[in-house]
Amino acid sequence: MSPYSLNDLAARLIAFEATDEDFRDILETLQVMADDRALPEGVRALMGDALVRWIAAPADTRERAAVDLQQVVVAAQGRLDLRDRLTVALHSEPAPSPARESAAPPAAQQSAAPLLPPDSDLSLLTDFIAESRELLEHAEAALLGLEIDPDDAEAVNTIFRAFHTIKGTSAFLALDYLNEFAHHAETVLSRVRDREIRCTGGYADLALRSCDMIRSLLDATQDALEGRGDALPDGYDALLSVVREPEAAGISELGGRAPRSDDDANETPDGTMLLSARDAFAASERSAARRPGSGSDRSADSSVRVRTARLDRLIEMVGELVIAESMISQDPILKQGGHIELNRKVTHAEKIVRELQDLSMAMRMVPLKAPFQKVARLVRDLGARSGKRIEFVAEGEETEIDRNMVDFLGDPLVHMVRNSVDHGIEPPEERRAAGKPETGTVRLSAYHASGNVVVALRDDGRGLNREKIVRKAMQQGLIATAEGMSDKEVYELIFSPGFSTADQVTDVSGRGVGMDVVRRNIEALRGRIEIQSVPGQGTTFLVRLPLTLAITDGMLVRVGGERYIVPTINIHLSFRPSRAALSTVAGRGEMVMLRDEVMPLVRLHRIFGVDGAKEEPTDALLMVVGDGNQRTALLVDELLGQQQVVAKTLGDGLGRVPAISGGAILGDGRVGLILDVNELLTLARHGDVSDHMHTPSRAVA
Amino acid sequence: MKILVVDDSATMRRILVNSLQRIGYSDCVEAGDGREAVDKFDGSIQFVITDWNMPNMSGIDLARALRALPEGKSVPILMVTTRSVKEDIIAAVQAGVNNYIVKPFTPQVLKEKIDAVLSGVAAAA
Repeated sequence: MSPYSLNDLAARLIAFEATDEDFRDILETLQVMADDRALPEGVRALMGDALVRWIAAPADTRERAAVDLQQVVVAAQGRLDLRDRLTVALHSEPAPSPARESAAPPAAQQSAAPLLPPDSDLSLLTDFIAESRELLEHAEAALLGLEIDPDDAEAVNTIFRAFHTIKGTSAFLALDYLNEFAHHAETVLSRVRDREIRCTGGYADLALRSCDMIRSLLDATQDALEGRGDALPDGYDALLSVVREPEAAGISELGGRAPRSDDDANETPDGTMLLSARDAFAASERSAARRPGSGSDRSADSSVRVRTARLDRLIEMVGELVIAESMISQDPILKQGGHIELNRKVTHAEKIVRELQDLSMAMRMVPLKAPFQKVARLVRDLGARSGKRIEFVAEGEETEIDRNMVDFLGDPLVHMVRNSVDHGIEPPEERRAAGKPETGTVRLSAYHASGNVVVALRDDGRGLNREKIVRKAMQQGLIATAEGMSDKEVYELIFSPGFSTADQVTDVSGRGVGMDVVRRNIEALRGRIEIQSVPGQGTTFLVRLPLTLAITDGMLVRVGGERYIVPTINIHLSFRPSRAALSTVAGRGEMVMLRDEVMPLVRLHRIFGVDGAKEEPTDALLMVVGDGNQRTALLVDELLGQQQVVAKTLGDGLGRVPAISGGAILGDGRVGLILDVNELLTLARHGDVSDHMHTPSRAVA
Repeated sequence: MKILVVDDSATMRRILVNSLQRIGYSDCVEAGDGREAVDKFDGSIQFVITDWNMPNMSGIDLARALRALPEGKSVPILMVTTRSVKEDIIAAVQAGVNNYIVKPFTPQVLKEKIDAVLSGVAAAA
């Protein structure tokens, strides 16, 4: 029992003489009582309120404050008596808070109010929006972690802090709708923090939806800032009323996904320990926190927020500088000799420019964390909707990639994940029957490999069904027969336009876009996608991407009087063929044999209509390009050397140029065209390269 | 008067520093969390304004940590809070916070709070 009681407090108040000592005694009593768990919450709330007023009371009004406090004691005594009379524990209604009344009025009364106050500080708002989005990301990661461990206090606090900070700051900025919403969301979370409710089932859903709504509100605010309308997000009022009184709206700890059973939680079929998404997120958080001055260190002066447009402009300018610099260093005057001092200076400048280029690129590199988190959320939502139990595992989310690519990676990832969840992972009964754990696993990992970023999406579902794909492909007229096709070739068919094996169109996939879009998107990022599948064991999508789109590592090749750039990522090797290696296959055109592998030979000079190129492969060079499945040999006159180029689109005036992905300014100031190797492969596959010549696009070369 | 402003939200720090400038306090040092605040706290800091809920080290832990330092025994600490965290105000006062201010506030209210804390500290000394 606490020595501090209402009686004690009443006695001290009566004896109160406005001295500092008396003041502190009462302060202490109030503190203890406000914290005393033996007291009903209502009484503690009264004491807390009183304490707050007591602390704030200026020294010369303490007498008056003591009189007020005596009335509080009377009220508290009333509550205690009430409790004694009722056997039911007294659950306090929230104590009236004086600050609350002066804050934002309820949304209903201000529905006509503008989203943005008229006198907004624009730059402050922009900062606020960026910061809040970041906080939401952290909150969302923590929420997904809570699904695995609902009692993780640190995660709860992270979510709470996000809502809390957004609430506090939005109040300053007079963003009433945001403030109102964040306030109620915070209240729900504070109940989780106080262990009154657990953040599972309906509450977890509600918290996630709250994150979404706050994000929508931020978007709406941004739109209003940029003069694109002033509309509240759809469903604001509806969700606000839910978050205001969750229980009245039927929210409970049930609903949503059932907690996983322990027996299938710890081990995957191959016996390795699962690294859960939460652990992965938490681990990267912790390591980030330990590293002083790292990107996610949020201390005051170790990082600075820069508008992305500005950063893009910087990188663009550095790109121009690289070109300008190489124009100088390749100037014929320097090659004439006798300019030793000038050469030395140019070399020095060159070194600095390269370093500057590396540095500026690094500035735009961001971890894959954001799209990974989006996927984590998606897996959860899709799984819940389709009644499948799925664990999401993220690995290597700290792997960095050009910011401009992260945005484009989102869509393909979403499609791949939909595919895995909808077609890959089986319903629990089917998994049980197959002797697998009921909970399926979707594993998303990323890592750097030979200058590229590899993103792999693995599921342990049923794997691709060869028969089904073949049947479908034949129905669609994609193939006449599957005879002689390897499994890999059959699997590749799912990337064909319009291909879909879903028996029925579900909410999850079957939305009219298929894996062909994924492939196109990946190829637009100058990447490659591969598929691996083992029946009954699962499917893996492997996506290989360059680190950045801004700069292409290319091999400069000469074909007649023209020069082309072949992206290094596509090149396997170059060789001069012997006559014996060359052959012509009826209907498939010229072929070349390299170490038991037969591949089509593509004459670039014919595709682009270049005169004066070497016609005889044994006098020229063959460059092998392509991916693991399909390769082709390009006939070129000679290799001029490796070069980093800043890729530019050709511009609308030229329209779409076959087999060319863009252009670049070369060291001598002339334009070189960058070959689109994927398109060349397609042309070679259809055999229409060497037999039936494509219309030469001389105009662009 | 040199003021240490501690908040994990850069936006809030800006709001605080702007408000302080408007009421005549232009000598501010910023810190993004409690740990950094402890690092930056030295004899020259004459006033501390801190958020309460921050990663790594909360405002309350910060107050405790500062009170444990020889230079921090008597430095005035004002805590910024919001309307739902009464329990934390209590804990904050126990940890050595002198007064608190509820978000949102006007620069005028901030000035009154700072004045109140300063006069209280002067009275206690």
